[in-house]
Amino acid sequence: MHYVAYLARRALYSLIVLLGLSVVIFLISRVLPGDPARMALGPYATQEQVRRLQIEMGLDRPLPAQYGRYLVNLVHGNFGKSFISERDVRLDLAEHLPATTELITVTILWVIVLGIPLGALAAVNKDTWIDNAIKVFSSAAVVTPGFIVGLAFQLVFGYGLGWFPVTGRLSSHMVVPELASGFLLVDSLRAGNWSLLKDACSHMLLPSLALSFAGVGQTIRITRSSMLEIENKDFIQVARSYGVPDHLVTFKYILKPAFIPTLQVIGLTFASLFGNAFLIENVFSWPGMAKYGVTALLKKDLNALMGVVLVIGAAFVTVNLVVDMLMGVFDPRIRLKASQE
Amino acid sequence: MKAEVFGMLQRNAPGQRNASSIQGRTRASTSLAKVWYRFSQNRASIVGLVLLVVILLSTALAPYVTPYPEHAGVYVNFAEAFKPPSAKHWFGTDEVGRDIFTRTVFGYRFSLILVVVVLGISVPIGVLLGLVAGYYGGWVETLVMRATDIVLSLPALAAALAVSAVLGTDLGHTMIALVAIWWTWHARLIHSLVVSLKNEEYVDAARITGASGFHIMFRELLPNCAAPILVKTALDAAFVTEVGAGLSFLGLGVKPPAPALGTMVAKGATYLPTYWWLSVFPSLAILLLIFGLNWFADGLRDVLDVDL
Repeated sequence: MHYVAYLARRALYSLIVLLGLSVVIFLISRVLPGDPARMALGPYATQEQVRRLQIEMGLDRPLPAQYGRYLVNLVHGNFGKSFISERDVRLDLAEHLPATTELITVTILWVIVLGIPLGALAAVNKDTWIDNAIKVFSSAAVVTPGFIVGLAFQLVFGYGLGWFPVTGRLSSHMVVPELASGFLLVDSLRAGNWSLLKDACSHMLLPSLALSFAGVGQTIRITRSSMLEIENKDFIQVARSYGVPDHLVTFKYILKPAFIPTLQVIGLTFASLFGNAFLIENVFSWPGMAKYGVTALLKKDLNALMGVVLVIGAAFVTVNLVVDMLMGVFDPRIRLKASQE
Repeated sequence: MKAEVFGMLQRNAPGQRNASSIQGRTRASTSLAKVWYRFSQNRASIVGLVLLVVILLSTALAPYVTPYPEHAGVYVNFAEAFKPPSAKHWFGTDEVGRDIFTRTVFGYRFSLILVVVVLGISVPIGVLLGLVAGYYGGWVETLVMRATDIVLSLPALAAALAVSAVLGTDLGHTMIALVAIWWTWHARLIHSLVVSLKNEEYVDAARITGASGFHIMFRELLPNCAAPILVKTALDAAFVTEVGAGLSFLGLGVKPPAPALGTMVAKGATYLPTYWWLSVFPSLAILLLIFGLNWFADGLRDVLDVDL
């Protein structure tokens, strides 16, 4: 089978998982006690009004037909109305999504620029105090809940040393440029507004670092162990015995193939990031999607919550697909195996 | 004779590669000593074990070992509110004058109950479904494995939130939400183990002697999956603690005035930095339990020689 066909099959498979997720979410929203039409209209609506809205919403039709309608709405990005904000959930999501995406993007950057070098450093200095110190750090980082790391950062670097602000994305006196995309770092760069950029960065640092801890720890571990595994391979012995300089062996022949399992772990980290973002956004009052989702949950705003869940599911599935593709790019063996299947 | 042959074959099965077990366990005492030796090779596992024993004992005896057991529930004494740590109140007092040390020890109860209930239900379900899916294959396998794909297409915390949205946000419902997610991990693990084990010779041997599918699954395959299941469950205990603490931090799970560690941290965080002890001590308590469980699981992994 050709590699492109393999990728197409993976993409189709991701689509099926997403469809499955939408079925589950649809069923959840239908088993919930309470009539959606009645909930939308409030307690003072007459029976006649409720009946009319039921027909309008298609609630009188059989479940498969209702699901079909639900799916068509989803494809058009229509998640229904939020009971709290009384707006389209789509608008609410569009408002909250950039903050979360920006936070997670910066976090992934930390995972890469901290995790891989530290893991390589540990592998190169195996069984020295450097290796041991990094090992202690990484195993602590993996298991410490993100919200505790966040609170510790707030206490030390925010309240204690006063280096960084503790909550929010911006100081209150800052003005966001017009026609903003919602991605503050990008917006401030584009507007050439350095004070805004500085303010946004200093707000970003603590939450993104706190969120990155588990991923950094995991990346250190996998980079170290896969480098040590490759270190023992014959082709490395050959390279060394030919007198290839150490730094070339380390960076070209060991680190490059070691990057493949690392990439996989970084992809998996993405999942836990969206989960932990719920907690970190809460700690730092970050005006993102997770915070919106939790508020929706505690106030029983079902449409809003399901919108959040679907967006997270879609993001997660997409990232996994992209990671799979990248793996094929980095590792010819995967391409080969896929085309032989 | 037959049992002996089966025993030999089982001992040579993957997951039990260590040379010592091939010689067989002649005396229970030597094997126990061996287990302890392997466990104690890693000093962290001993620390983990000690931590767990201390936490379990103090939690079980909470009403006797805590100085103010009545502070675990509804209790208000504003004269004693926001007192910093002292000999009288080791961890200080909270916003209504309750002893934080007492509430922390009682808070462990909910963490531990959550771990036991969630894993106690989801592990057997996952193991059973994984066994059946792996052994029989076909549409059962497709159904089970695609279900795990869908559940795992969401981060655990987000999935728990979605389920809680339907059911409600109290402790029982949080447990159901976690069970609904957690079985998938074990189903996947057992499925992959069974798929690789079911073509082993001892399984063929059992099939030829006319053993039923039930016998093969539960008497041949399951014992050979036991070690990875145990280690995974031990590691999961730490993970459930973390997710549970996270959920209670967000306001799900145990309802006030009952003390849950995550809730105490969340409430205490609103009084940072002046009254730092409100959130710092419950946070440290969560860390202690998670580290203890992880270190213990690492030791168990060494003893059982499992690579997860």
